[in-house]
Amino acid sequence: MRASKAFFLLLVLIVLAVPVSAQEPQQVVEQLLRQQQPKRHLMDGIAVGADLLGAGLKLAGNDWSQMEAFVRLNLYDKYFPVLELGYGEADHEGRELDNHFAVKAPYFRIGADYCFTKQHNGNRLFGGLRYGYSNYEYDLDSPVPLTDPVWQTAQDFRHHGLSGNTHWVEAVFGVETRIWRIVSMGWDLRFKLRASQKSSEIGKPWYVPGMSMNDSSLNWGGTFKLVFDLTRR
Amino acid sequence: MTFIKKTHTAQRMAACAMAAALAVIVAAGVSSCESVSCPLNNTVESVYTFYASSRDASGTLVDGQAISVGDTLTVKAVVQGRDTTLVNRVYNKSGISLPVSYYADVDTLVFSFTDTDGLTATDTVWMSKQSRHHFDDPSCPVHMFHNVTAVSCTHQVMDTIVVVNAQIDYDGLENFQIYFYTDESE
Repeated sequence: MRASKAFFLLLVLIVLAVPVSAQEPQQVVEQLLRQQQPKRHLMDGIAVGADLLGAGLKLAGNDWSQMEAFVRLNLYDKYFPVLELGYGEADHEGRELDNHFAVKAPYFRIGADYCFTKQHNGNRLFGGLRYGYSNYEYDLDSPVPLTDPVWQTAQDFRHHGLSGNTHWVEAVFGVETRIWRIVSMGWDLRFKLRASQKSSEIGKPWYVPGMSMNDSSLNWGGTFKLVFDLTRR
Repeated sequence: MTFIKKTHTAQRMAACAMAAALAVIVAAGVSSCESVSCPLNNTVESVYTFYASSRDASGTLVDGQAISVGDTLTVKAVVQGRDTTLVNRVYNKSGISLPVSYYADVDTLVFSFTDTDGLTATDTVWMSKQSRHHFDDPSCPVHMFHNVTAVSCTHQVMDTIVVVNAQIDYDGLENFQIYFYTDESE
């Protein structure tokens, strides 16, 4: 009886051990891959960077430009909350008529990106959303006095310090690649939708810091970024 | 063992240099592109339409019938004691558009109606307003918009004048309705 029980127990152990030894090679490979990838953490890193495209516009002598920097958190190397701070300025004269517009003001955007790539090697394909806001004062001038053609009276057209603000949202799509150690570079395309705007009754601003041209409620833009990425590897 | 193909650092830097060149080209393109959206209709005028006066038993003005004035109409603006002709001898008109002074607080307009017998009746309209500059785009002309605060008239042929839209801009919307005496309303 004891011998039969022992034999039965040995038989059970042998049956249980067979599935382990008969694992598919695919499962073994996947286990090894998971062991190679570092464990992701809620706070997997932080990055700071700046937009080089806006600086390029300023160096090119464009009528408008914006300089911005950002700080970005890394959550599980998958979700990236980001805060972008910038300073936009414009000094523009119209074609033919030489009417003049000027503005200088800060802006900010807050939002988050989602990384679509599964590999955690610093190369990312991402999409995201931003909410942007800017509060500004702008100037409108005309070099020629505004003359009444019938009553023949004239006054200067010169308005400084007109106040306004704009709220907008952006959809962001871009790529980022690790160049060397903590240095990464990347670019993104942004589709911008003006959500609300408050302007002087004299006229709307030609350019909104952070949002760019104000001739349409829907606009597009982009950034080319230099990033210092302190992510756990 | 790894199934991930690593990109050489030099190849990455070359790719980013190409992307930087593309960004500069895009920036140059952005800086050279400017879309201008000036309004097609950019004449600021006040719009007057003509109606036959009709009143109920209590004397309250009711909606009148739109009419065309058969008499010859001339409209002059009184500017610093001098007359400037704005509309000259038009006839059979259901309404007219008139310029508005940029900087005066009150515009004085003299409407003269001459019938086929050569008899002329004249009424004067006083329009009080507040004017403000309007700016669309640095490449577009600057305009003057107006907000009518009050209007009155004499009563030779005009029963009354009513403000239907106090904003005078380049949208071309009706601003004033002039009600003329008819055989029923007199």
